[in-house]
Amino acid sequence: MSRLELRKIGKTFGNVRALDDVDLDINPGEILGLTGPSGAGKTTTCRVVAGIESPTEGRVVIDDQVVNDQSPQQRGVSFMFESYALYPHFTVFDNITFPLRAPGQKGRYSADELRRRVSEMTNLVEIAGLEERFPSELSGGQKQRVALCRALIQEPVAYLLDEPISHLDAKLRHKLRGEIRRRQVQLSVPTVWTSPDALEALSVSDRVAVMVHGRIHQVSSPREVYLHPATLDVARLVGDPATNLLSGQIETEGGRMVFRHPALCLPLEESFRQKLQANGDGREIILGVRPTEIGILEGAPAEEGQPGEVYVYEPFGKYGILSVRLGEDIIKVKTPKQRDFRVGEKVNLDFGQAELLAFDPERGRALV
Amino acid sequence: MASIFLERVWKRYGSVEAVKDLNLECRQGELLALLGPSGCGKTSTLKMVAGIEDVTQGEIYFDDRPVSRLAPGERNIAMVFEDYALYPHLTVGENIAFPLKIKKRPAGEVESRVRSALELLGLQELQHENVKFMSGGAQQRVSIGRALVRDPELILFDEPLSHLDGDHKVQLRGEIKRLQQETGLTSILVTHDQTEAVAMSDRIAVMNLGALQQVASPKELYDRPANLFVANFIGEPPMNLLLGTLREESGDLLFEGEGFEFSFPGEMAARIGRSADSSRMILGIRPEHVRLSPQNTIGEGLNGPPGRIHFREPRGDVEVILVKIESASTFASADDILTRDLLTVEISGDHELREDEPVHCRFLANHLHLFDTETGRNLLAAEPVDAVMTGRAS
Repeated sequence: MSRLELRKIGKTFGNVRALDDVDLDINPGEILGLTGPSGAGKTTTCRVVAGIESPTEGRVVIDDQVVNDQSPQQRGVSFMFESYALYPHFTVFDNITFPLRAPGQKGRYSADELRRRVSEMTNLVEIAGLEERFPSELSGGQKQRVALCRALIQEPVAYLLDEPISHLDAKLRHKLRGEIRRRQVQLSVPTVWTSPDALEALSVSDRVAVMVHGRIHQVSSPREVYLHPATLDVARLVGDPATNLLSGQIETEGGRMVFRHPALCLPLEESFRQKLQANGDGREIILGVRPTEIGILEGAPAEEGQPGEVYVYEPFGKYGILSVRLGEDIIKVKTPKQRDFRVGEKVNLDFGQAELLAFDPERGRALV
Repeated sequence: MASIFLERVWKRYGSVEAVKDLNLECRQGELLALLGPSGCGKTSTLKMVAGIEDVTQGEIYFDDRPVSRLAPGERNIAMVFEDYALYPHLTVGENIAFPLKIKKRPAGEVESRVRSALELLGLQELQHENVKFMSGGAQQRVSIGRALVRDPELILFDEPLSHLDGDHKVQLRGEIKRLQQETGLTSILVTHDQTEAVAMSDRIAVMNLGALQQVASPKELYDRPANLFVANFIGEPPMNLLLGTLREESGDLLFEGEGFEFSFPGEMAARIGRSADSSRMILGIRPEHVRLSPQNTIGEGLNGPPGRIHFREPRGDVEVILVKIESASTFASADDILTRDLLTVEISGDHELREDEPVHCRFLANHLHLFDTETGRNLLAAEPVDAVMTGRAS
């Protein structure tokens, strides 16, 4: 059993603040998905945990022990590099077993045991039969799977998987998410799984940490990240398409509280107003509406909906993505309707079913 | 504006047949995608339309005009390339004006046409910027501007989004579609990315190994794929494809899969038009057309295999679930498109199913596909039926 803790980790490269006040706790058998745009600090976080970088501030704690002064070898963390870092002069088999044949491990695994473990791993990731090849004889996707095997075959105190399946095709990615997750959650050590694709992080993790510009914006369950993004940056990253964000004011109109945007006027529920602590005197907010929660009213009188103009329509098999122009903004609607919409067509939008989100425009924090 | 018609077109490179007997029409004002994996012949086709490659055999018409012997310059075609192919030392405005300057158009005309191209693409403020320092998305917009400014009869897009990252790709994808609809320019798009083709096109020609597989609207391809190749290529997650045999029992036509069997209603059996000759068949069902229920409930119409929840993958508004089919022998198949022991199911909304819970699968009968293993043809690609299959889980 081991736990991984990051305590107020900061990392500065020259005048670049790569990590700032990063606090994370990862439990044994837990997968923490670490997501964020490229340059957010995901890889740097892994490198700090593995001991390849030392933090400028803060502590890395494994199993209640501060390991800042330990070398990568002493820490015993398994780190899968995004760049694979395979040994070009070793076969696939030797690459995968390398960590099990390291000086400290000598004699721990018999030849039969090594073969059994390699075969288990290569079958899992569907590269069985390639064991005697050299990395130069493999495709990019195969190399990534060799690196994945080399990380998973170890029995470390923590696994760090840095974009472990990013170069595989959709079908295999989908299968491996399931297979790796099932495997990792049965172990008694924590796993960190990074991905720039928030949906991938949502799909494999027990909890998701969203990182932007070196700071953790939110750590919560996948569902919570999807339903209640803590900041504007999180809202922009999560969902396919991401949450629509509209700037406007809370005003009073005819005794009712409304959200006013240059091309939209939405009546607000009393409970929403209370949560916002707005009294209708023009407070600026950014309203968030998920694309799945906007309806399209067909054949209803115009006053029942919000008018907009079709910017473009993309008809996917199970649903369509309708981009609608609202003043200067374009919002996206994910609709099960399977009729065609033409550019410039007028549509009537229904926000009645939407669970609205609100953000502070200055600080970017969620308000409800 | 023109329509394009390819009549029995072949392209051979030595003994390699890159395009085989292609008959294809791109209607006036339409955006037609050529979609397929690498080596399918889509790029060779595009190059023949552009005049960059010779037609080995057959003819290409713009409206009624045969063009296969015309030089590229005589065809009045504009092309947009995947790597933008801009002049790096010129500004946005100069790049867009370039084709007009070459043709020595009067300065006034150049200026007004460049201005309207800049406006159409929202590039007005970048007119005097050097293209070298712009993002990929902005550079591709410039190259589209350069294509439009010549007022071509048709425009050919060769993988225009493949060098862009996620967000820019999605954005430009919509902009190109919008622009195409606004200008009404007859357009051909070459892409290997099914999402891109589905999002952008009026119709899609799916190609594989030099041969046209199906040409239809995105919806038609999704709902009624003509064959196994199209069925597997279009859709994410891909269609489940289960191997089995056809069998007859007391007058009913049965599909016998691994650990399950069901009988087709008479109407469907008639449409399949095949008697039970023990031939190998592949049953196709998309992930969103499978329903799951806990195994302890006794329900009508449980016509799919029993299994266990193997992995739940939340994707925000939907959840993709892998179901481990208990009875499936994990047979080694040379054809890795076939579903082996894991069935993909997509569910929207909340549900109570947990990992490792035993479940029953129900296939929505009117969304089933049945493929002949020999020809790959979809025997159920005709009109869908509103029928409930009389199923028995075995």
